[in-house]
Order: sequence, then C-alpha cells, then structure tokens
Amino acid sequence: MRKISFKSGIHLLLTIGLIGASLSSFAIAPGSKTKKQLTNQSLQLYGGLTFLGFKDELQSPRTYAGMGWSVGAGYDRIKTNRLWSVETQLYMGSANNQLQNNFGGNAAQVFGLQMNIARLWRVKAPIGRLQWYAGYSTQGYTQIRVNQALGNSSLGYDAMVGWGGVSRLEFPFRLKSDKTYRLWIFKYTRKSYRSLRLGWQLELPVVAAHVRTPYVGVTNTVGNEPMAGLVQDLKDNSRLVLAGNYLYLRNQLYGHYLLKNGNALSLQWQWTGYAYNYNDQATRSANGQLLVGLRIKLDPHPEQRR
Amino acid sequence: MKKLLLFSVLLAGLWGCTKSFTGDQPEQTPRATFEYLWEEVRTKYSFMAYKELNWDSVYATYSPLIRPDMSEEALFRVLANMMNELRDGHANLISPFTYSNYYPIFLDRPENYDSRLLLEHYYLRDINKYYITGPFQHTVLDTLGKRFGLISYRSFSNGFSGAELNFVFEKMAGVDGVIFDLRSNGGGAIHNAHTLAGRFTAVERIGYYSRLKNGPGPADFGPELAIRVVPSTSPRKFTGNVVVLTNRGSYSASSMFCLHMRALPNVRLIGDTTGGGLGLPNGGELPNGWTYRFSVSQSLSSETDAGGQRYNWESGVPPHIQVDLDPAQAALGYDSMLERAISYLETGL
Repeated sequence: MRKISFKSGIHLLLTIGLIGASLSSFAIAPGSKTKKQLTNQSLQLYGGLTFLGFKDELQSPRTYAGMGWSVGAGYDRIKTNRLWSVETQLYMGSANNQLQNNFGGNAAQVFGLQMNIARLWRVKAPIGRLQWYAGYSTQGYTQIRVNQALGNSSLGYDAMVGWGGVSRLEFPFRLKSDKTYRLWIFKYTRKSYRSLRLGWQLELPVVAAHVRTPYVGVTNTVGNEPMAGLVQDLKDNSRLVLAGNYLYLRNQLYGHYLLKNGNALSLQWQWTGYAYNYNDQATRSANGQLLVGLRIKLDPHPEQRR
Repeated sequence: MKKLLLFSVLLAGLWGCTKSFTGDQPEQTPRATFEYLWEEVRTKYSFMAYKELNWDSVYATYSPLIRPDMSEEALFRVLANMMNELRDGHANLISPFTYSNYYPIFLDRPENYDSRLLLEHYYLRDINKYYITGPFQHTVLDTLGKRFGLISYRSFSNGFSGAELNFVFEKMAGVDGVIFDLRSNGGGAIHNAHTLAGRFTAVERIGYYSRLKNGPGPADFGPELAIRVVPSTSPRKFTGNVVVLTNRGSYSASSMFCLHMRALPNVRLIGDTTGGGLGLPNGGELPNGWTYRFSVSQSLSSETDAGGQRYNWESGVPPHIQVDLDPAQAALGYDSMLERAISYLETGL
C-alpha cells in the first residue's frame, strides 16, 4: 500500500482546505461609504502574472511548471434577485519540465483562453444574513502548448465547453474600524466600519464536450489540405463527457478598493484546474493568476436602482 | 497588515493547490525510463503487426540489462538497441549527448548514387545550362537530338518559394521528358512533397491514404484520410513523361513523394526500392527528460493488388524498373541509372 508522504499530505490538506477558501470572495469598502454599493453594471479590465502547471500524459509523464502573464475582461450585472456575469481570460507563458542538466531542459510555450458565463438567482437562505444564489454556468476552456523538443508532436491542446450548476453563498458583514484623533487634551473617536463580503462559489460540472490532442500525440495533417486533416482529427477526438470523468474548478479571491467616482481598483487571485482522462492517458493543468485591475461602473444612475 | 498576511497565506496555499493538482514528477530511474518507453512503443507503434514484431520477447531480452546503478550512456545504448528492433529509420532516441538511428535501411544495399559523377559528367556537360535554384540543381541534357530536363533535390527539409519553382519549370518548357533525381534524399517536410508533385499533373488524383493509430491495440487505427495530388495553379508545370530516380536513401517524405508520383500515369520510378519510412513519426518525452520518436501512422498506396487491397510499402516503395549504379560504367563517366532513365524516355521501354 502506498504511503502518503508528508509533502503529499500538505498538498492534500491545502487542496481540501483552500479550495473552499479560494472560492471565497472579499469586497472591502471604506467605512465612510458603507451605504454606497458597487454599481449594478460594471466592466472589469485586469492583467497580471500567471503561474502555470500541466502534465499531458499523451506526450510526457513529467509535470511542467512556469510563469507568464495574463489579461482579462469581465462584465457583471447585478439586480435584486439575480446576477449575471461574463468573464474571459487570456494567458500565455513558458513552462519547463523541471529537469535541468548541463544541456538544459525541455520547455513549452503555453497559451490559454478561458471564458465563463454564469446566471444565478437568489434563493431563500437558511441562515440570517446569508445570501444564497444558485444557477447555471457555461464554461469554455482552451489550452495550447508548443514544445519544440517533441518534434512532430510539438503541438498539444485541450479544449472544453461545459455546462453545470453554480452555487454561491455570500455573507456580508462589517468590521469596526474606529479612528481616534487627539488635539492637546481632547480626544475624539470617530466610529467607522469597513464592509466586507465573504463569498463561496462552487461550480459543479455536469456535462462537457472535450477535444484534445490525438492519442498518438500527433495531428494527421500530412495532406496538402491540412485544415481537412485537422477538422477530421477534431471530429475523431471529440467526446461528450459526464461529470466524474472530468474536473473543472475555477476559484476566485478578490478585494476591491472603492474610488470616489464609484469605480474600483481590484486585486485578484484566480485559480483554475482542469483534468480529463482520454484513453487512460490523462491531462491535468492548473493556472493561478495574480491580477490587478479596474472595475468601471457602467450604470449611469445606480442610486435609482437601490 | 493582518489582511495582507492573510492574503499572502492564501496565495501561497493556492499555489500549493496548483502543484498538488498537476501531480508529482515521475521516478527517473533506469527501470522507470525503460518501462515507460517499452509501453509507449507497445501501444502506439503503427507497424507492430505489419512487421510481425513480438514486443513481449523484446522485453524479455532487454529488461534484464537494466540495472539501478547503470550510467546514462549505458542506459542509452540499451534503449537505443531496443528501438532498433523496430527496424525503422523513424525510430530514434534523443538524449542531450547523442541520438540513435537505424542504419541498415540504406547500408544493407549499394548506395547507387555518386554526386561527383552526376556533377562532372551531366550537370557540367554544359555549364551555361546549369543552375542551382534554391535547393534544386537542374539542367537540360541534349541527347541524340532530344532534350531531357534533369532536376536534383537533396532534402525535403530544404524549402523553396513559388518563384524558385517557377524558374525551374520554366527551364523545363518544351523538353521531351524530365528526370527528377531523388536519390539519397532523406526526407523532411511533407508539404514540400505535395507542392512539388502538383507540378507534374494537370488532374487531381489520390496519391495515398494516411491513417493514424488511435488506440493501444495493434489494429487500432482511425479512418483513412485520402491525401491528394493537387495540380499547381501555376502554368509552369510539366505534365509530360517523367522519371523519378530512387535509391534506398530516398526515405520518409521522399517515399511519400514517390507514392504521389506512382499515382500519376505519366510518371515511372527507376532505380532501387526506396528506404520506406511511410509512417509519420510522433514525439514524446521519457521520465528522465530524453525524447524519442517512432512511427504512429501508416501510408497506404492508392494502387491495389489483385484482391483490391492497398499496398503498405513501409519497407520501401518499389520502382517500376529496377536498376543499380554500375561501378564499371561509373568509372567511364556514366551513371547507369540516369542512362536507363534517358533510355526509357527515348523509347518508352
């Protein structure tokens, strides 16, 4: 029986413990603006670093890891009882096989595109101030890898369009943040609060269409009609897969700093994990993105919607 | 400050998630590397049944040679010898310090090619007609009142432009036949073969069929994809009688080009059987970071036998007329293979 090593155990604990935490969302607003809410419609633009990791068993048993950059955009529309959001991220970077020798290691260029469209409705929450939304989402995921060391198999790819249920729990609360001013012997305490919002969103995959590199790791584009070969390969290697045979997790953790004009600066960590088994040769990839961005209000009269 | 600390801890934890999600590195021992390569070949090599290979007996032969303390070079030799059991020039093991190849494909037969003989006695017969256009050497030979174009192409890895091809075929205008010398062309980019073949036909034809391995069983293949010879849109092409000269050094993309050319009624292959190599080689990485490749597809001819079965010429595309380079004739300044091609173009026999 295989023993679980300390390192694996730590990773396991982190995975279990932090998947929940990572699905949380924070919204922090200055205390003086506790009653001012984010606009009901907003556009987000962001960019930053991405941390990559993947293992494509069709081409190598080794795990590749590296870094790159990413950019993204999103749109939110929040009404009293429903929430609609569209998000998309593009990232690219370089990852290597983590095996350095005197001759250097093998490296891959990685390009990814992710898109999520979610629609949620507010349902009655079982506990006090807890806000509970439930709905569905459409998830798009594509990753293209180019590893020149693999010759004709240099191109590896995964693509998925999936549908599933979404559940989001939000818990708004305030933290006391008093400020004390002194003038000679006078002391004045100004009561202030910071609004926070803790949220946990879980996307449950139900069904998805997947396509990935052919079984032998090379595309049958040997003809003088490469598009025909590629289309044939995509057709031959497409599968409709039910949950349990694939995994797609997408988590977000973010903080907002409200500006006076109603826009907000944001700092965000986003983590996506994708796993799919094809002919007993699995692919697993994960990327974490540390993003800074700007949330721009689009609603011209937010006060009328309160 | 506390919030910043909390945020940092969460970031570190999430990065841990990424590492945990993608999994640990595999063992890099000689045993793990050997087992991985053996299994990859067993499940993905496309000519296991065609070559009647018993891969289990290969395992029995090489497995005892794997030792935990063996050097990298010793491990390389064992794995390279195992790959050579495939008798396939597309089966290669690549380490940072060397790579393996299967040489008997062309060393088991005469070379049937003498580049100096060709240059001295044919191309330089009239230096004013000799051109080196991109990767092509070409000239027009005047023989007993007839004019034959001669074109040599040494590697399909050497690309060319449309303008270069136009120039070559402009020089072939009005000749009584063209000899396309493909001897010792070890292959390269297959798209060059498609482009070139399109200059020798006015009608679209199926050159061959390609099918990819799509499962672990020896007979697991995807559907056959018809690979067509599409006529060039350029008016500068040659659709008269053509001879392709071949030897065992005509390998991989050269053999695929020969499949295309065999499908054209105006073309004859003369020389030795090509080296074959009709399987598209894939690429993969071993647990220790070395890479490998071997054939994962089959190319089947558009011609069929009496039973309607397509030919699998993985071991070499046969010529219509078999002829070797005669050393005695070569000593006198004659390339007997080229002379046979001229004779065919003159007489049709």
